[in-house]
Amino acid sequence: MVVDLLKNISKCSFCGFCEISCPTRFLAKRNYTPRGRINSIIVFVDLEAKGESLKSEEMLKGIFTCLGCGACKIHCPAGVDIPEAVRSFKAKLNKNSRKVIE
Amino acid sequence: MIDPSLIVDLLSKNVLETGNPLGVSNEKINNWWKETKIKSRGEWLFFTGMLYQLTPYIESLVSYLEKFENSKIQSILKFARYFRFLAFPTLKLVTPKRSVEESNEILKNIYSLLDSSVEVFYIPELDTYNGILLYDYGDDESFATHAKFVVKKLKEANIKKIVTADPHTTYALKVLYPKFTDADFEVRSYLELINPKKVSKNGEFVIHDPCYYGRYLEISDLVREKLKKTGINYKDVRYSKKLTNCCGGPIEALTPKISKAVAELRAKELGNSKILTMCPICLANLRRVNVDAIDISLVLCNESGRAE
Amino acid sequence: MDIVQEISRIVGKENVSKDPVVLQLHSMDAIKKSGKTNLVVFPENTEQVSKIMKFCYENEIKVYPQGSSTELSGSSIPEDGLVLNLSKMNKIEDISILDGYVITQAGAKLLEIEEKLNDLGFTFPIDPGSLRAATVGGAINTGAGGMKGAKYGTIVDWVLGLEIVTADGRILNIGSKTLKCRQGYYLTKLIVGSEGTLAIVTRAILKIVPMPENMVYGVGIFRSPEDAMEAVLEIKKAKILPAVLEFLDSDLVKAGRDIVQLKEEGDMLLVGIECNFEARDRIAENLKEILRKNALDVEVAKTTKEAEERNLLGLRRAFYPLALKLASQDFGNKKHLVLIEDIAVPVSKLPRVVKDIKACAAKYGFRVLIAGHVGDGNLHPTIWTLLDDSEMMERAEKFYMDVMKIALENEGTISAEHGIGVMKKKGLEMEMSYRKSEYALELMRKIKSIFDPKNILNPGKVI
Repeated sequence: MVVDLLKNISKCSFCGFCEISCPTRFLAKRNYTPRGRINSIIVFVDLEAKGESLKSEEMLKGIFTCLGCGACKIHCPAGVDIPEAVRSFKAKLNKNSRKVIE
Repeated sequence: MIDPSLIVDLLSKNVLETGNPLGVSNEKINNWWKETKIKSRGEWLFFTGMLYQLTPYIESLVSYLEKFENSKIQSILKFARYFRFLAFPTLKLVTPKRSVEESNEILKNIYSLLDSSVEVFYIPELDTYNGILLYDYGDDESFATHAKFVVKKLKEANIKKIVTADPHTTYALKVLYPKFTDADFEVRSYLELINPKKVSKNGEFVIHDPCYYGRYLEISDLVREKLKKTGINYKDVRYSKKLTNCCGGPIEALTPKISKAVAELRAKELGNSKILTMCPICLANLRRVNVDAIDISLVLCNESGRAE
Repeated sequence: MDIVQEISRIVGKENVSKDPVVLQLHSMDAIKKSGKTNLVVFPENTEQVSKIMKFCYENEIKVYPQGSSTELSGSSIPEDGLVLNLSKMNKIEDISILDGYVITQAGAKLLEIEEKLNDLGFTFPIDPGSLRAATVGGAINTGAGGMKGAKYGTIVDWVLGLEIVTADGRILNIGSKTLKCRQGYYLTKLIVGSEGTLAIVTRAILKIVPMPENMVYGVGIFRSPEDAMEAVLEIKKAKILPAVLEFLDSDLVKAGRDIVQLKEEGDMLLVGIECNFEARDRIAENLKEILRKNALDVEVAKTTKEAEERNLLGLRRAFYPLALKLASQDFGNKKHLVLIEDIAVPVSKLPRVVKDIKACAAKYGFRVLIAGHVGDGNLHPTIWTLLDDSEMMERAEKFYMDVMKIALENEGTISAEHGIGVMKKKGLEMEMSYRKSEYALELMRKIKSIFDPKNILNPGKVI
């Protein structure tokens, strides 16, 4: 699953075109924007590949405040399916959420 | 934010044990049809997915969750006990009766709109929660289990065509069920099937497209065609149809505070007119920030609650 | 002394973050540069920015001002110290039609401003490719341009006044609300394009104009860049000043054929002319005639709506997505980077420069796509490279340097609208030495040290 996820999201170029469409971007920290969520996942997966774990409450909050509304998706020039990537990452975090925040 | 794993665990436990996210039997909340003449045979099975029926209770729950949101993680254990205490009997006590009545009225209207347009029928025993919350929170496994349970029931009843009441149920049955189960039903939103007549409604309405209708299922234009037939005066804001913005509802159980802030942003975009919604979650969440909103089914018919 | 505590006291706890993911997300940019920061701070008003700067000045803490980090030069990347993210200062405060300005905080996004202005029939004509993402502060600090540069110039022509916070925390208001303003030295214009190295921009007064009534669009496909440039000359001779005059090279056109239905392949010109609605027929005819002279294929739309319906702007818009797509086709899951160059040359030199750039890309083994704003001679040669392949990255850098050299040899400049950041520091030195004007760099360094004596403002950038 993680491999499929990465295949999709590693295309992100950090251009930020998605951000303005995200209803939670008023929170300012980038983990509450589509670009930030996608790159949080990249950070998490990269560390995991190195056998390290990431403890970040902000990452958890960022992922679970995604509304899944899909407003960002059409604006991604790289064609990342942002809402689906975030949703499927939720499944991974569900099992580890306590570990991530404590 | 409330620890997501806690919410997800409870949700999936409730859904898998009782078929319903609040852990209550459907009979207790599904009452709209009792005051309506329903047919038990026809072409299209009306399937509500229980979302309209559940929303009033979810809203009461959310107002309680709001109190826990800012508490430290340590209090989560306490919260978990409280959550169980907030079982259905308690929720029922604190849920405004008129919200429940409104939901019933909406479903009655939808059914009657359908009844005057297609061969629709309803079998209360087949109507089940759609499971979408599990999917939204990434619990694919529980979602699949539940979806299979729903599909099995429908297939055993030899159902082929299904008409739905809300966007979440429509998306679940039309797009997700075929992915997670062997479902192959023909699924339509009621808004696609109805032939509304002219109605006498004054004033101008602004449409708030739900994300699932606007973006995922792309039926916004069709909804407008139907509205035109009724002669209702409506207006679109910049961010509508495919570009619609979310009401904030999907995260209300995890973070009522942020959810409310998102609703406020959307309310600003929609302006001060009367807002038309097509989803129980949009309706409830926009109302949390005092938006004057009404479900579209209530304006597609005349006051009597009957399509004429 | 606890820095976090001190800064929290100024902006509130909720506006300070040390979370590892927040730190990381605010240390990256759109060319995959990544730096390091110890703290990200989100001030809510100018007074807070001033207090932060006073504190950082006293304690010699480096400050990296930041908008949306979509720059293409590395200018927003922190090295240590704190990131000062201005996204919470995003209010569009005042629009005056009579006086012709919009006043906005630095963190507002250009697109939001444009939407508000459009509702009133007005526009701020600076539309960088990153319009959706760019903030006012970021656009000002990079000296942003866009598609309409030929007619409207770059942002330096549109900033009337600024509120800035200096390195030691003073709040200054420079420039004014008026179009004409002789306030001694043009400090306002000096801040534009200074990439956060001289002061923190907190608020701007920007000039606005009415939206054009209509735009006539034309697309021509040509046998060669020379033929395309011949058409540009004809357009100019006809005394037409297009707002949009874009060039897309034949390789780009070939790669994007699926996006836009084209009968022919070749080099493409996209022309957009603003006009009164009543003039559309005459102007469309005129344009068609000019393009037909030596184009293989011509399409003209009389209105913006028609151009949209026929997707005439499709390929130009698809340039960036297309480069991203080709890059991921070539490199798959491996981390890669799409590099967008940004030279400008006199328009007359474009055919030669396009040819030279293609030869240069071939020499270094890169596939190159060239799009550019030919109305102002600005080209964006674009290649893609693997981030973890040091040999390829080295080749990319050489290509980058050689393209800048080509610009200089053709009487151009190394950066038109993206700025210097860290990517073009060597290029800037090369340019000034090419112009035998090294002392200009010395002057710039002196200016920097006057504004920022302790070198705490976005250090390591530009010079």
